[in-house]
Amino acid sequence: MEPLGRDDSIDFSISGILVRSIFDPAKTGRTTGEIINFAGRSYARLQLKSGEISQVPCEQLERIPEVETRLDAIAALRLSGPEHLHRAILTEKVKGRLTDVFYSMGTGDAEFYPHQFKPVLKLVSSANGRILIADEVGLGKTIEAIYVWKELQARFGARRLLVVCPSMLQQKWQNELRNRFSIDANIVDSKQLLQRLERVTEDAATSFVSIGSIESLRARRPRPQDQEPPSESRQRLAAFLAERESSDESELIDLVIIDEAHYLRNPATAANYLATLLAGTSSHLVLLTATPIQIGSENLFQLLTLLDADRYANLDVFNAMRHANAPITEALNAVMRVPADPIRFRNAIQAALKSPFFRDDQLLNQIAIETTDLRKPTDRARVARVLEGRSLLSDVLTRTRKRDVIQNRVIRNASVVRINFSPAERQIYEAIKDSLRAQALYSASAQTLMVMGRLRQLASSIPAAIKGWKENDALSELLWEDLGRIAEEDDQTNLTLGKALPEAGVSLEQEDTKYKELLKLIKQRIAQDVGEKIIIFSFYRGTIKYLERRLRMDQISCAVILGGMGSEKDAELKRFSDPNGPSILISSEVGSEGIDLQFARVLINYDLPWNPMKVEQRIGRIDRLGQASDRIHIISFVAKDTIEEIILDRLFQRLDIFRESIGDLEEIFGETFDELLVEYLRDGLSDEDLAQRLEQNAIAAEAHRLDLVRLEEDAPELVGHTDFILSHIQKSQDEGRWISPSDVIEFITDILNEFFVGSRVERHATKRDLFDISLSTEARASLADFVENTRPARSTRLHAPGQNVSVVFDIAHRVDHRPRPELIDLTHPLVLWLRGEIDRRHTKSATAVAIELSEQRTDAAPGLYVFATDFWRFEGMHRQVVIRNAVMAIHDLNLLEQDAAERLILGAARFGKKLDMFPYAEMASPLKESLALCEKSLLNQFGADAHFFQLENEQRVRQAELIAEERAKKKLTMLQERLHSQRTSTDERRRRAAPLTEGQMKRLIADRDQRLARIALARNAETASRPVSGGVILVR
Amino acid sequence: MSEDWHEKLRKLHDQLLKDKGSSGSAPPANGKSKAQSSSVPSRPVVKARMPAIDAVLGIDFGTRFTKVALFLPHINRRVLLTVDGDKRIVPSRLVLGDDGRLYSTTCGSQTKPKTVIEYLKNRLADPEAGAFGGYVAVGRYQLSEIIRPACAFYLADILRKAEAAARAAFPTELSSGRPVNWFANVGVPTKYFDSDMVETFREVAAIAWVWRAKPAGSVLPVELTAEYQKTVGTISPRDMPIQVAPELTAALVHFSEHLNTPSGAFSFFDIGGGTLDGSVFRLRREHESSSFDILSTNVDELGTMAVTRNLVAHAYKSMTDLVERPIIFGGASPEISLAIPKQIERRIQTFFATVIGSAMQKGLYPPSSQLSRRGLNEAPKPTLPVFVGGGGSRSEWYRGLFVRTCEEYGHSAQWGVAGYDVRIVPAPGGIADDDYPRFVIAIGLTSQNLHFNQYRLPSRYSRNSNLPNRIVSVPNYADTKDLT
Repeated sequence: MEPLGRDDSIDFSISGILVRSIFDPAKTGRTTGEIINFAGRSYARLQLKSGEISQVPCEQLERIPEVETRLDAIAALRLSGPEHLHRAILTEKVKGRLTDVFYSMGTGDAEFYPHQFKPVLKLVSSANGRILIADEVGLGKTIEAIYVWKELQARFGARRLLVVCPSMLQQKWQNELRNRFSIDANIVDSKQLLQRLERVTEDAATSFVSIGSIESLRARRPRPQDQEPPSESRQRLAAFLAERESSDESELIDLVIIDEAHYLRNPATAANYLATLLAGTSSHLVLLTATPIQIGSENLFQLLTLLDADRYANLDVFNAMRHANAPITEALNAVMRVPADPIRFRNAIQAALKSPFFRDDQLLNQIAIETTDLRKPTDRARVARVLEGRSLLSDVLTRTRKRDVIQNRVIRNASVVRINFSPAERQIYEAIKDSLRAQALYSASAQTLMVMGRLRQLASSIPAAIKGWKENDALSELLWEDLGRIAEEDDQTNLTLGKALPEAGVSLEQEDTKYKELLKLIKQRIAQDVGEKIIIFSFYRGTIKYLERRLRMDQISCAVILGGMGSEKDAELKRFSDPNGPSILISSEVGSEGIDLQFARVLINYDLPWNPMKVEQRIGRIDRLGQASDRIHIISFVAKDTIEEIILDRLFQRLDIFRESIGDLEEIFGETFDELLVEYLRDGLSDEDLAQRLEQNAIAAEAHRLDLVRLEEDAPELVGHTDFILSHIQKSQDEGRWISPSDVIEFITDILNEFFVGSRVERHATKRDLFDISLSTEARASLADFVENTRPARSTRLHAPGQNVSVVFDIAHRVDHRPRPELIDLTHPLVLWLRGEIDRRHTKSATAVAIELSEQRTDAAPGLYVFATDFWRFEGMHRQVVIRNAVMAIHDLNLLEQDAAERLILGAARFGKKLDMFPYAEMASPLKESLALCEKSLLNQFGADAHFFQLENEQRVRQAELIAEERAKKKLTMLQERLHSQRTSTDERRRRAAPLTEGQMKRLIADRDQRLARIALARNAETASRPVSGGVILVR
Repeated sequence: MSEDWHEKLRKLHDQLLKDKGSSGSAPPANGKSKAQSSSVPSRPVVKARMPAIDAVLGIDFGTRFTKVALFLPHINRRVLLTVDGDKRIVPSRLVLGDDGRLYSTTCGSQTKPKTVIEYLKNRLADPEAGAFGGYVAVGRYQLSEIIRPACAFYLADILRKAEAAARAAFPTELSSGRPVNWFANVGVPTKYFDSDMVETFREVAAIAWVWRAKPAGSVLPVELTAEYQKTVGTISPRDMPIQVAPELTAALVHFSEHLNTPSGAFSFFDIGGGTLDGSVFRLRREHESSSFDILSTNVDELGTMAVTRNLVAHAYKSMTDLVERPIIFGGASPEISLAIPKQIERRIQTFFATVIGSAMQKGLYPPSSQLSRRGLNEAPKPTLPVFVGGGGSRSEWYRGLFVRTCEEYGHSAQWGVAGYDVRIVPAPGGIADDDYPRFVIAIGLTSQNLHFNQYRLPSRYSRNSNLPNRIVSVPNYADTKDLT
């Protein structure tokens, strides 16, 4: 400790001396050599960091010490105010490297639901960047996947996103990205995608967000006999991807999202080949599926194989791993339940250690011998983290069920309206049905599908179907919408319907019994409640158009939503949601994808899908998060004595699909149900046969469902304790472990003021959410430089000369203004540039602060606190970057709990005032002693965490090496076989290909060695800690 | 580790909690008590380790009322001081008691006031002008002869009270054991700042600074004059901790301190009780520092009270129509409505236009070098930000009038401005008081940059020469000045 009047008096007539104010050590500058005498006092002219000149009384200045720790600063009472603590914390947060901050939170124009951040949470801590999202319908998987993208963008500066989905969903993805996240995405075909990827190999800064359909991108696997280089664009794309699959260059695509991934799971298909290629060339992969994942499922195995081909060698290994995983999940649940159950925990750990997968696991062994009683939250969090890291499945799989997130389930009121065809209708129906069934008999499967499609149209609406056939409408949309099948492009087969078709005239429409029933029902409903909102679902575009026309003629206004409508859809939806707008919305399921209809409570199935999953999806539109009504009505129309009636009675009713969320039935239905229907048509089964088979299915399904319920209650092997994860996410949101729009505003304003004086961030006078930003000339030049050099993924007008740019910080407000203001979030070039500027200029020293906080602003008791805040970084095969605090209450010298400590520090940074500590100068040395205690406690924690990280890293390194070797071995064997067959081939051309294969093998070996070398580097995990801030907080 | 420091810490802890924290608004100071009151708890203080802190008083010496703000740079806090009882405004006046002694502000209960001497500032600036109630005899002196000592006497009292109020507001930070460097700045009307008169203000302020150390009380005019003469020889006003600054620059200074403000043209209107002060200036933020080019300033008696009196005079003139008629014909509960006459609005708008216009003539917006074609490459027209402060700044009527002037006076076509963006001045740093716009000059006067920024004042101060003829019914300037 040195006395104040240090012996280093400064000669202010010399320029360039670094000095600071004794009252605000963060205020620093260089002397200019000028001294001004004014009002009997000497002022030194200083040049501040911003370049501005300021005058400070000479006696209040001192030299900046070369090294000053927090301890030195507190001993000398060189303490700054709360704004410096706030800046220090905010800067670390905004830099985007903390692993316990959700950078994607608040980036979408969507209500906050904790479960939607589960995938983000898992992906960030996952080692291989691959995840399967298997939530139940209606929980917002699309949004979850886009959050993953926002997180990757903010953390790692991800530039390239590819969404792959069935072509019917492309529009939906485009809308969702634009409307909720303000991301403009292009729909591409294989040729355009190939062009983009080729550009990436030339220029790593290439950015794109593209959407491609499974249909247009998939390509068949190359056959050994293929000689010529492929010419067709889909094959060329596949060849391009295959060539880069094994290479260790920087990845082509930062994130690939595959929607409806279950269509890709069959290894024999072209779609599956596409998925494996994309998995091999992207650094992150997210698969989405609504198909329920259940225990013992081969489907799950196949999906997981898509995620990580080498991890689960075959189904048997997979099952063995699942089995081994059970005690880990059990232990995890024991830790995370409130209160924790140490006995269960210990038993489970012992059980896990018996399995060959974990026998040699050092960390588990260490935990097993530790004597923690799991009472301290920090202990529990640490143990939970270890267990999660051990889990063989949960790090690649996330699943949320409605029952986990929706507390009060909505009651479903179901009823059926049975239509009695008039004799004329009956005659037409039977004639067409017979004709179609005759054509389906012993037909090829494509033909059968066509027949099925036509039959479905007929069941939907006779007048609409007949009209559609005459106009030769395409069936592919219907097949997707109704049966969930992606029609092969060459599937178009012509059916002959001609003879059976009557003249669809006015009489047919007038006699439309089904429509009349609908009209009656609607009128009834509206008479009961004028404000009633009714949704009518049909899978057939023709029916929807027909209903729209007829309802309009009957003076009932309605809104219509179809697939592929684009932005018009929003206008229709807005019209419908307006209380004074139309009472009726006619929609197809695909048309209504991704929109919220929770405000409606009546749903009419004008026709019935054959697939029960589709029924659930329809109901899912209104029975979802946010349904205000506690009861919804589902009314289904079915014609008597038709196939639909059989399905309804024998299957749907029995399974109670209208009342219960069936969720988990695909397991048993998936393909068997489709096959049954194909059989029915192709093999000419009788209606009785069909009914019987359906009933058998229903019984099996019920039994299966009971099984599942029991299993899930017994031991949730796959997914851990959801409540804990969800409450963790909720807590992160509550306690500000995310970047709010106001954080971004403060960050930008603060840094611009500090470094680029004359720039301005100004709130609009009347539109409170709109801001004007104008940059100073220096700032513009610097930003322009940055944009030119790094070419960020998003563009900006801020560096254009003479521009005042309107911006918003909260995405929810963006659509309110025309022209559209720029949205500034963590991925905006302005923020990226400022982050760089901080890194370039920021002094490494931690500022010490003294802050007074009103007791109304905190839950901490009045009194004096000393705190230290550190930044920890652990890097190896995975990363862990966090900010940790130690806060000590002076009155009893006890350390605060981690959460309370964080709350107090954040509160002080935000609401505190600067505290003058000089009157208490004699206490400086005891304060220093207690700060030293805080530092020591942080250091101990750091040591413990670093040790765990090292152990965990070791484990991951070993796994990674194993995988790399295995993968290479498998490919090498394959290549060797190929080489052998080429060398011994009698075909001259094949023999000539042998050197090519040899070359491939050499590359593979070189690549493997490089990978192993890189993994070996990660073995020496880097662990570092650095002080961020420290000081005193007085609560009174 | 020794237990010694634990014990010390605990003592500190108890001490800190015992000390009352300074609240945002200052508690009323006891005007009569001597500055260092003994009620401040004493504590062990190690003087050697304690650097002296600065405390800066900003004194807005108004025509009718004086306002004082305090700035403590070391904790970056600004407050408005309640100098007079619980009021944040003190009348700018002296009282001559029937005992022939001069009292500051009020003479208390023992003595009866004989003469109340008001408008001290204006009389100091212009002692020969008779506008402020003619000649006043103070004992055997004419007021004009002793106006300097009188003002110094008044300001000394204000300084004394302000210091006491400051210590009451920050008992810990300004505790008796603490070395404090006190500073003060006194506002001077901008129009006098270019003139020699500023030296008079500086001298008076310096004398007041010396006198503040004397105990408060009354004084005989003859003693006062002698004391003044004696003191003036011993001081050098330019080196005193008290200095003077133009009121306008005080209002502007925190524009430059607010780092979020870019270079560019701005306008500032101080809507007072008596006067409306307008100015247009250009802020230049260069690498080095900020400078202000003040392109035009003007003042007219169009403040809120002036308008009120005008309105009452107008009503008085037409009281038959406005008041009597409704009483006779207005039913059981007659409504008397008083519309603001168009000509008052016109005068305010004309005044506003004059301020802006004279800045335009001095090249506020230099004409673009390129010939613009309609609709093609035409630079967007600039919007002039107009900040308002003063007690009337909350009036939507004034603000609306300013905004409307652009369209109604055809400024868009004439001068190429897109419009006026009228806003209340942003809060200066370190202040947490919603009422700050009223005190913006006092607050500005606490700024240390006041003397270091460059202000280029208009070389010549023009007096309303462009304004249309006065309307006769407008009350006397002196009767309306600075009524807040």
